[in-house]
Amino acid sequence: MSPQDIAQQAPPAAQAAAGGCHGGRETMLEAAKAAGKSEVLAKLASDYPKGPHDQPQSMCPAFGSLRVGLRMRRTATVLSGSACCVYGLTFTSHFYGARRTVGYVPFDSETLVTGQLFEDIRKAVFELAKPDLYDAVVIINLCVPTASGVPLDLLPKQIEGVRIIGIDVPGFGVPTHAEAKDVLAGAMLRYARQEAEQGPVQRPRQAADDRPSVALIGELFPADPVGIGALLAPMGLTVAPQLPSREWRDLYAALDCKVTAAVHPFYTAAVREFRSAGRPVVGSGPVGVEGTAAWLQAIGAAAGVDATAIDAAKAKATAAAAAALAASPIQARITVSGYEGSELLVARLLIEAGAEVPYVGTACPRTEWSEPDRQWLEAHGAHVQYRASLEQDVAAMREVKPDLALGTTPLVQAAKEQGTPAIYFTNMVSARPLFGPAGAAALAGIVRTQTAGRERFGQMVAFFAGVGQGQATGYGMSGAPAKQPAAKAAPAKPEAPKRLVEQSIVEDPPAERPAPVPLSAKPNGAAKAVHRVHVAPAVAAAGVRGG
Amino acid sequence: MLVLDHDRAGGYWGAVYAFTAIKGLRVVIDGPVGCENLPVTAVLHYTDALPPHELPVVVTGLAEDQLSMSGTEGALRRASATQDQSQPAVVVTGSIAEMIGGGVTPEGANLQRFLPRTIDEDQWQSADRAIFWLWSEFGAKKAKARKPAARAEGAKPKVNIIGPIYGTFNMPSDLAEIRRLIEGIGCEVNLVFPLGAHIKDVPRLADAEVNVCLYREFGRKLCEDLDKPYLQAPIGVFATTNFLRKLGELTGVDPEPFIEQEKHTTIKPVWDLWRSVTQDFFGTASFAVVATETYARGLQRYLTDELGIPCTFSFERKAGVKPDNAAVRAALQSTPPLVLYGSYNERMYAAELGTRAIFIPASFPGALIRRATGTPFMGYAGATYVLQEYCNALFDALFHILPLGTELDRVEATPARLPAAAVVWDEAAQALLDAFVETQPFLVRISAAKQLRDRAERAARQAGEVEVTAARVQAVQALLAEGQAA
Ligand code: SF4
Repeated sequence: MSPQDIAQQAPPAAQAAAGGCHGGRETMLEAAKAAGKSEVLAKLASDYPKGPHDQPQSMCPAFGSLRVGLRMRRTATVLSGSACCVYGLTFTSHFYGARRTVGYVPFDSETLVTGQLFEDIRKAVFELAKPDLYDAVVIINLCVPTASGVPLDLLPKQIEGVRIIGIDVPGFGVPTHAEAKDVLAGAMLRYARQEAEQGPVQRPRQAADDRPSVALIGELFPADPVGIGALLAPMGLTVAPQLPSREWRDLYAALDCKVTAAVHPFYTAAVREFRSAGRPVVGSGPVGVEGTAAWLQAIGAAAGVDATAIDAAKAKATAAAAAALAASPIQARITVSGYEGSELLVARLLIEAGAEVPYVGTACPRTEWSEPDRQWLEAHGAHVQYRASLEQDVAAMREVKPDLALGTTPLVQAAKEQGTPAIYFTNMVSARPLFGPAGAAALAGIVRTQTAGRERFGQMVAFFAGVGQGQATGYGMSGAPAKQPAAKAAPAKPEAPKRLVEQSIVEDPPAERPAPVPLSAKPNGAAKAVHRVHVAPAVAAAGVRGG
Repeated sequence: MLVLDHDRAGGYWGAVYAFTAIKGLRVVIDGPVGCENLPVTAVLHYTDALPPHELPVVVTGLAEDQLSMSGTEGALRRASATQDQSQPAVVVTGSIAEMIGGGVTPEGANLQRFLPRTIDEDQWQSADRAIFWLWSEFGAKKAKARKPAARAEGAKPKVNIIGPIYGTFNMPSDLAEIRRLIEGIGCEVNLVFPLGAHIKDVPRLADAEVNVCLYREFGRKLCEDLDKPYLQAPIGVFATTNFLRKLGELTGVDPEPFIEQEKHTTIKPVWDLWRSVTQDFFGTASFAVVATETYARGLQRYLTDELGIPCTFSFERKAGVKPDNAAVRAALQSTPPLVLYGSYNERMYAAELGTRAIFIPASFPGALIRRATGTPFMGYAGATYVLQEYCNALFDALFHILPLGTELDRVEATPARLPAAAVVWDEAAQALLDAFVETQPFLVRISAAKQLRDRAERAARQAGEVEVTAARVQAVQALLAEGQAA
């Protein structure tokens, strides 16, 4: 599939916003020229090793839907797919989702062909739909049942008051697990909207106050909605239960919002439901000073708040954000890539904190809700790559030689192999507050911790050079492989007879080693001046980054 | 049929884990990115600690186009072209590619095709065939062409270890132990297969006199075909002794000196623990096991048959048989063991029930890395490790049973009747106390007086004074008043 096709497949809203950015090699070159960085980025583009495919990085997409289901109270989730998919999804969701049973309706080539599979699903759904245990049963068709047309829409809509939600989440059709979250969240919201249209529905258990509310879309760090609530308070607004929801009745409360905030910008189906309910939808999120001001302005305007109140909210929030940023400055060059959908927001915050971010890659598509962030980032010297493939992310990381790479697991591996400190976006960045003052402090904390370890990364690379490469990948070898070119490249130092003095040198804590080489003195420092076009003066002048 | 928390992957995972275990063979997965991400990038990291893109595996990244129009050949060619072309490659199909008849190798490419039958077989059935396939494709013919050389005078008999592949619980430790045993009695390990072997070495499989099959779930098909005697790797003290004697018999080596030596070293802890008072508990401190057939049978045989520890229930994860986890849940509820050997699933069920069983990991699924080689279940070292950890589990259970001091202490105080050292009241203080008592309603006079007196004396003692002054009484009175107001 070519990148153009991906854009064509994207939901209409995304397509409208995409406006010609298809996220492929060609686009990179165009964007490079437009951003005045043709030299470097053209090289970047030409350097791309052609990967095995053009797909963005993602877990098996169904993971996104499964996780949303497992995290919701009084909800049973069942997979219909082949065992390899089901086992892997169950394994990863037991690690990343919830300690909750995952149902599985198996099939073999016979039950698939005869239609028995649908009957089995039907039986399983009836077995599970116990009103004393569940509000909803979710059944997810994986690749094979989707492609064979197993008709989940023929299942009853509800059984004894338990809602039955059937969705198709094929790995060949839904590009990322992020978007698969939207598939389930959107389906639930649609169901809830139809319920609400028919008459009164339950109030949330923690009855909210009567202030008009803002519904946040996206799996946010638990403290974030609370922090956002504080930002909204001066405008007389509060936060509604967020989406994906934790409980069915929260869906009603979310729909009852005044304004919807698509903080994570890929929830196309969910946004469609909010719009059907007549709610205005605002993109971006309250990150840093500028991001917070712009977001509050947009939310206030959409909610019909008067200008004085908006200004009061902005004044209060930006002062706090500015103070937090000043207290936690980041002086480092950082590349950001990930498949969570919040990559652009994270990059904005990093830049506001003083970091240089030349490249932002996201597996998610370009949508209208990340548009303010894209514009802001490009105005601040970052190249934004939607639907980024691993090869694009790695090439960018190799090219700009960051002090820290935030990325997906293979990207992190590639960075660490070359001695670049790196962290997995999903585990480290998504698991911390992002918005308001708390976000600024948290991000600076991770950057500081991981860049401070640069020495150790270098030491490891020097020690393990050539290990795990070529014929020596994996494990099970009974010794060094017969031919190991890397061993020649990094010959072991001829060892002098061991003396105690030497040992004590070896055992010195890393902190006592010579200080890291300042970035300006790196071989690439001068040649890559173009990356610093938009760098804050403090960073460009300082040789102290990464310390 | 509704299966809960499925406990093994489908066929093509087994094939991928077998094919990536051998060196010099590339693997191309025909499927969407998810088909590579789950078994290799995600799960193999949490079970085998392998970084995501270390192994020579690529995926075609199928999308709707290939499915509905173009087919997967072009994608296969492109993906394969990103790897080292000098090496042979095998194409395996994920479930959706299998369904649309993918994995058809482009003409002229040096790609071979293996059908994992992922929709119908589980990972172990497919791994069994994949291990055999390596032999039939890369070894059998060449091996026949070679003359079987008779063992040279004084040369050690050769033995193969068949079965180790990636994604297998505790495999590095068990493999290391079985190798140690074989070498211990004076044999030579000819080939460990497929893990760590090179594709060029496959014909050498024929050189061994005996094969040791590590698992019951896979590897037997190859052992059968090699047409040499084979032994199943043992779990337990006596099982291991039998194994060594049989191996000695088959190879003409005397195992007894090694067995004798082991009694004084590796398995001496078993004898030590057997004679200890901890053994007293063996007859009552039950265990349960939910694991692969290999481990579940092995643990039962060792713990119950050899050591007399009661087993409250046992479920075997058997190749080709779907699990019944509702039954596991029910067993855990009706006959909870003291020590629970199992996977993430059993651990989760135990947590749901709030049982106090001590959990010992003994199976996948679950994020658990076992690359260090010190945790075998098999062989003599395994017998010692398993028993040691069972005893530690008993100690651990005791830890939770014994009362926790800080909890014990959370009851109403019963202070001593006599003060530690007498404190005297000066006249003014005494007068204040009397006046205070007068103001109190008759009913509470005694306790009010006592409270004021005790507090004042305690405060004086704390301040290191031997006399209660009027000022002290006033201060305490003020404090008390405050406390009442609050
Ligand atoms: S076949 Fe589809 S659902 Fe199954 S692992 Fe592959 S991408 Fe995921």
